[in-house]
Amino acid sequence: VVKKQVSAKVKTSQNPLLPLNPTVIGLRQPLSTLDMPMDSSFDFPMDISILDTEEKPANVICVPDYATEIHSYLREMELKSRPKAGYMKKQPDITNSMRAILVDWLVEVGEEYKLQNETLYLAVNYIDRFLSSMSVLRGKLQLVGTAAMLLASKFEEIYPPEVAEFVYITDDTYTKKQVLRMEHLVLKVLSFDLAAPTVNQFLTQYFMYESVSKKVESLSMFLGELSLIDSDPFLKYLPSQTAAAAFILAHYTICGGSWTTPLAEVTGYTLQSLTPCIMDLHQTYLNASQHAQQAVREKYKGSKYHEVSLIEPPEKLILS
Amino acid sequence: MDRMRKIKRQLSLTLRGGNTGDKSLSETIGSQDTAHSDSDAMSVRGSGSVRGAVRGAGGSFSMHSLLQSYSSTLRRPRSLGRSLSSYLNHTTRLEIVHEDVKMGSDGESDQASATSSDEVHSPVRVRLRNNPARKISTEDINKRLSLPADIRLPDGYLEKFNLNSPLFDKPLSRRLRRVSLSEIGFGKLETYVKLDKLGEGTYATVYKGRSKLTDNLVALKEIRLEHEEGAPCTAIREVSLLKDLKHANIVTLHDIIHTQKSLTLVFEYLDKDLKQYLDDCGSCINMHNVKLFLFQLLRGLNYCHKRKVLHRDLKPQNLLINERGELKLADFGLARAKSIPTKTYSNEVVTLWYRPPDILLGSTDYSTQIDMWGVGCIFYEMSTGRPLFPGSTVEEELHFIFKLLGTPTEETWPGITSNEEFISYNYPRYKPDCLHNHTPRLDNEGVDLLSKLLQFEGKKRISAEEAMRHPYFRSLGGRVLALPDNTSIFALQDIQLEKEPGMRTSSLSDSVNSISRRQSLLF
Repeated sequence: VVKKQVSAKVKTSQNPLLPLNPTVIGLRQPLSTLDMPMDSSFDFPMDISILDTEEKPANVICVPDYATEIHSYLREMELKSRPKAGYMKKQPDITNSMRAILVDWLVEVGEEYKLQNETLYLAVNYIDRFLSSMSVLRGKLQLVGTAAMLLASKFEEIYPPEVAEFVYITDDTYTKKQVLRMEHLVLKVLSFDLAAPTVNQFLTQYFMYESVSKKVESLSMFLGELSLIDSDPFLKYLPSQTAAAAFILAHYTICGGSWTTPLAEVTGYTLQSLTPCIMDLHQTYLNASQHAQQAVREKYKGSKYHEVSLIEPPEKLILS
Repeated sequence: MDRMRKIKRQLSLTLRGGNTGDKSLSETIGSQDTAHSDSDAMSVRGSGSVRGAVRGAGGSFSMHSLLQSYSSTLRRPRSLGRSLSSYLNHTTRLEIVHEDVKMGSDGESDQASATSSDEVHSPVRVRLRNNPARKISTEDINKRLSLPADIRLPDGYLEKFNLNSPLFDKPLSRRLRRVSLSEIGFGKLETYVKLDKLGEGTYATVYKGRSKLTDNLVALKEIRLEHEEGAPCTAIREVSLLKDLKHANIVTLHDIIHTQKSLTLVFEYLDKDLKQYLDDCGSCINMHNVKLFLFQLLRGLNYCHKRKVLHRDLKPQNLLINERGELKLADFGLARAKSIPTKTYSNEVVTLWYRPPDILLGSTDYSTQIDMWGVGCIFYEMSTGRPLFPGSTVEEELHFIFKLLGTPTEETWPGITSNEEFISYNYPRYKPDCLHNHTPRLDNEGVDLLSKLLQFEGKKRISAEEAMRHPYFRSLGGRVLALPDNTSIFALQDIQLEKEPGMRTSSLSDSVNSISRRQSLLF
């Protein structure tokens, strides 16, 4: 149920970038090293996907004139691009833990090729929607994941890696032809609906309405990515809900914060309505260090994410 | 490199070997039926047979075999649709998207497809008797499938529907709708007749065409896929974005035909683009019509911006106009692209004429205002018949801009004096010129709007939504602001295109269009 926001004015002075940063030119080179400092006011190398380049849904969304409309549009679209939560029960040959291995690998692939976090989220959405309607044998699961990542890169990246790279990373398990044929099939099954809202997009919106420290931002993103690994329980929540839970949990962990009034107004979510999702995410957070898949934790140990995966999760949540 | 070796991985090995302790996995394997191991064997055989099948695959696909494949699914309750490997081996079936029946809506769609799958052989008539059925007409079908009213259904389709009435008893699932659409002829190349070639690039060719379903003219944008890289980014973005944009001032994407060799986008056909329109009326558009075009451009853009879609490549060639005077945004190939490339896939140089100065100076801070500068340039071009800033290099483009608007200073553009590119060009210090002197046909309000569009800094430019409420449009009345998305402004009686005195008419296309209009009235 999309509740349209009534008031809530957006802050305009969000953009930390100078509009005319000449170093940005460097970004136009294919696969250049992207962790160049973007602005002298940051004393640590920041993740490019948060700060610079426009997809920065921040910048698109950060237009006060359109912010509320865009939010309601994303809420409408997330319902349309939603995978079926229980699809794994009907898959004859693959399991949630295999999916977890696949997503974990895609996290590493994203790191290796310095892809946007958004690309990873999109790829996982494509995989889940594909698996919601097609049965896939385990031997082909990586092919589906690879094609999904290829498509997400083509949709999202300035310089998507070439198909040959995607063949290479599978250790030549599949041929280029197979990857391209799978791309075709994924497009067909998703009927070209690739512009799916993601946890990442909602988080960026929430940060715009409620400015928090970079550390809270990074921790929210870490928790958001943890939710990608485990389809059970997180497939049953909408991206806007998981993003809200990640925000709350991060806000609580770093500075004892919680859900805020502007966010409640914009989203129409109350703390109470989010409780099941927050509980599930808290459990995942507590278990993260014991999880068989560790790529997300590794990624967020990096200084560009303020090493947030090393932060101890709170034992108990007392939210208000 | 070490890292790469780690990334490079055959997950299949992990998945096969490393899961002995996985309870759910062993459960699944234990409960598998034999049908499944068949398909497993097929997948192991790999791509040799797949390739053969692809070459042999025609576009044809019978309803019968489709429904058979669904019914076979039903016999395997635990499996989900058809297995992937069997898809890859029977590529004819790739022509249609199989959404899984089982997953549909918990039993309900199972039921529906079970009945329809028997369609060819039997008991549907029995059902009909139970449901004392009304005769299904073409109109019913059109309504049911949300088809245009003027569509011509293929021979025999009506009878099929009458036989297959369960479709009318239940809500139509997306899958069934798609199957039905495909039966009618959507998604098939043979449904469209190619007429003249309208343009060609290295990756796409555009044809004028005709739909056999409606007899309407269409534009067929054919994108070749022999490309080593599969579907091009621009096509992927254009299709996925346009599918969600349904507005009277955005070109409609009617159909997508995706085969192994090409991707064809079927668009509504409009007679000309704004550039041709300008040429045809001797570069002097009636000022009332300029207002109507500008308003429609803003309306289409406002709709996009509300959906987080930026066009990023506005120019007169991308604005299509039909005889009624309806203007529609087209060519969303660069929409949402991360950087604006300097060349298109067809290797044409992307024009700089409509690109804002902040972007020309290296900003990647793209937001909705990126499009508003181009709107200003187009507004000027419609009013004067001349492009505003026709630069051929970035340096020259900026030079044109500064000559008219004045070379920016720290006062007129905070931060500009520390922009390295700006410094390196070392432009003379021009004083801003008076816009009025350059646009003699534009009234004061028009000039005011133009100046609000031509702001150096993105954040200072007027938004599409505000611009639609600018006094310049007051003469159109308030009702144009309250129209539903899909309604053209010409639906309002007092909104009319005025005659272009200097308009050259090409008699040929006129007669073709009037015939098709008359014919569509007959339906």
